[in-house]
Amino acid sequence: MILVLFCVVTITFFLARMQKGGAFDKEEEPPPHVKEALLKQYDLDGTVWSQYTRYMRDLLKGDLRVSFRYRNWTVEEVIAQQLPVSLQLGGVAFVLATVGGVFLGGVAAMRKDTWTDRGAMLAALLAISLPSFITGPLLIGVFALWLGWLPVGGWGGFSTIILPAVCLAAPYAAYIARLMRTSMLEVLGADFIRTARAKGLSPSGVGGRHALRVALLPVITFLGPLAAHLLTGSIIVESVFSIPGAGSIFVNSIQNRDVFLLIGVVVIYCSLLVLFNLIIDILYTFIDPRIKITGGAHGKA
Amino acid sequence: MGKPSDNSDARAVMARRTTWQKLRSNPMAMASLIILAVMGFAALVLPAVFPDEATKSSPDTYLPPMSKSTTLENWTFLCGTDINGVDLLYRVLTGARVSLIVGLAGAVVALFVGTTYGVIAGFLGGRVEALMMRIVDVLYSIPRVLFIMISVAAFDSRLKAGIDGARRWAEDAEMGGFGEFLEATIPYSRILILIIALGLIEWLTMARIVRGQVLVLREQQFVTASRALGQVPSAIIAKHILPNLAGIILTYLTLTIPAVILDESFLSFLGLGIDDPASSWGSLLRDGAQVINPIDSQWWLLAFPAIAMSLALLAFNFLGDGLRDALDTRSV
Repeated sequence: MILVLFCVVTITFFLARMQKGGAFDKEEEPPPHVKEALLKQYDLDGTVWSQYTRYMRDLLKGDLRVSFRYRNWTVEEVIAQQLPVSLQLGGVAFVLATVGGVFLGGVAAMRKDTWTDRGAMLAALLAISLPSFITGPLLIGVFALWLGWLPVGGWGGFSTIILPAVCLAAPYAAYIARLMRTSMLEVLGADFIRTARAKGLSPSGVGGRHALRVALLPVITFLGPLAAHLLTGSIIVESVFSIPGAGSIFVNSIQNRDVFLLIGVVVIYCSLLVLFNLIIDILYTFIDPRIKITGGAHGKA
Repeated sequence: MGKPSDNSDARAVMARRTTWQKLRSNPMAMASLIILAVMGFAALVLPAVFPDEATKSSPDTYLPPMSKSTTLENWTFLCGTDINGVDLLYRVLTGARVSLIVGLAGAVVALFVGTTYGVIAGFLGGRVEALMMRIVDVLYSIPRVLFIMISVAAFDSRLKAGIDGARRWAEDAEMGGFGEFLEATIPYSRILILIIALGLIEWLTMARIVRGQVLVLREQQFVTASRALGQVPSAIIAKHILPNLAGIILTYLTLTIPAVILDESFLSFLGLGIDDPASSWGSLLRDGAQVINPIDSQWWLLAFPAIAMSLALLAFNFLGDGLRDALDTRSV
């Protein structure tokens, strides 16, 4: 995982440095000595390779360097100011997507081939197919402009988080619902479920207690990619709902050729994801019932 | 070798026929197929029938749908006009052209990479396969689109400079037509970058599915028989594995196209994808989103590209789902 992080940083660095035109190219070309001094100040002189090794050394010390655009601000400071907003939004959307998706998929599987099932799966396909920059304005139009229940955009307070979080979570909730339905149907056909049903457990008892735990496994493996998707997805949602999050930093840093800020955002994003995937991996071994069930059987015996 | 292969050919034809029949009995999938055919035809052919004045900037800015043109006789802007007074329907159709081409070409790139990767992993097996699939897992959990954004910014000016160099060379070599062609392509260089870049990130699912299928096929008797007869691996892959993958590849090609279209519009919406003078659905939506406000809303600028794009995405997804269902029971 550390290796992945290293590769990611390296690729980002070289891609970012490949952009033609430095960060200091303005309408008028600054005099060469000024430019040289600027490059030196930001430690961008010398060959690209030596820039890279120096940057990596700084990075290992935990120094993300200074932003070009926001003079006198370190990259850490710029990111620290806006990242919490994105994390909140992403967190709410994450919970919405998993809980909503598992619930919908579970219910659809329990009522296979009824109208509930078909309706839920049609809604899921709609939600998967439509991008957030179409659903976003649609949600704004209906709930903010027409009904006037929720604010159009901005940030601050509970009411502003609802629409963007729903908009961000919807496609992934739908994806999880489909994943959940398939795996639930598979599990419901398994032997140990028939046994449970034969023991006289109610359908909801079978579904809730026995099937759900096993059926959750594919969903859990999707949580890692989900976090990555939410991260990129939030860039759009933040722009649609004009939320001051980290997504705008990223987009602006590309357009402004703010190399260190750009790499900084990528480093932070990827570290978060690596950490998250680590947690998921640990979680997986805990939840996997194949380990628990055998343990339980031994206990009873 | 004559008889068994004839037999398997016949079976393959039969399987294909039942797949087609199943697909035909799926109303959603068939409706999608028709919508896509109509849309593709409209995007390719219709822009040519627009009168010149409707496709250039005119004083008729921000006209709502169904309004009459002031400069052209007998011309109605069915979908209204945009900020420059260009017919929005024309822009949506040309946008469809770009979006569909990027989607299709990107998906084909993804198909090649994914299939090659999946076949190699599945066929080699063992530790190599484990490593290759582990790499896919890791790539899944990385925000890949971010890298597309960075690489578009990184390669765009370089590619433009490269094409410009080629143009100058062509002019020196007195190949005027070719030089003009190159000059015309410069503004559209991003489309090429996007096709390659998006194809290079959307192959993961394809690789996974193909590898799974190859693992099954590898153990089939006809493969074992072929191996026993001394067939080399490349011939086994070409003769036995790939033909049997055709259905699944077609299905996932159908499902990858909307994914690529979505990615492309994602980038264009942020202003990092297709740029002027070319436009795609994503960049049209971006223009539309910029003028939306509660007081004087130019809703048509957002609505028509959104409708066109949603229709296309839904149609591709329904068709892909239908194909998957139709092929699913073929495992017998």
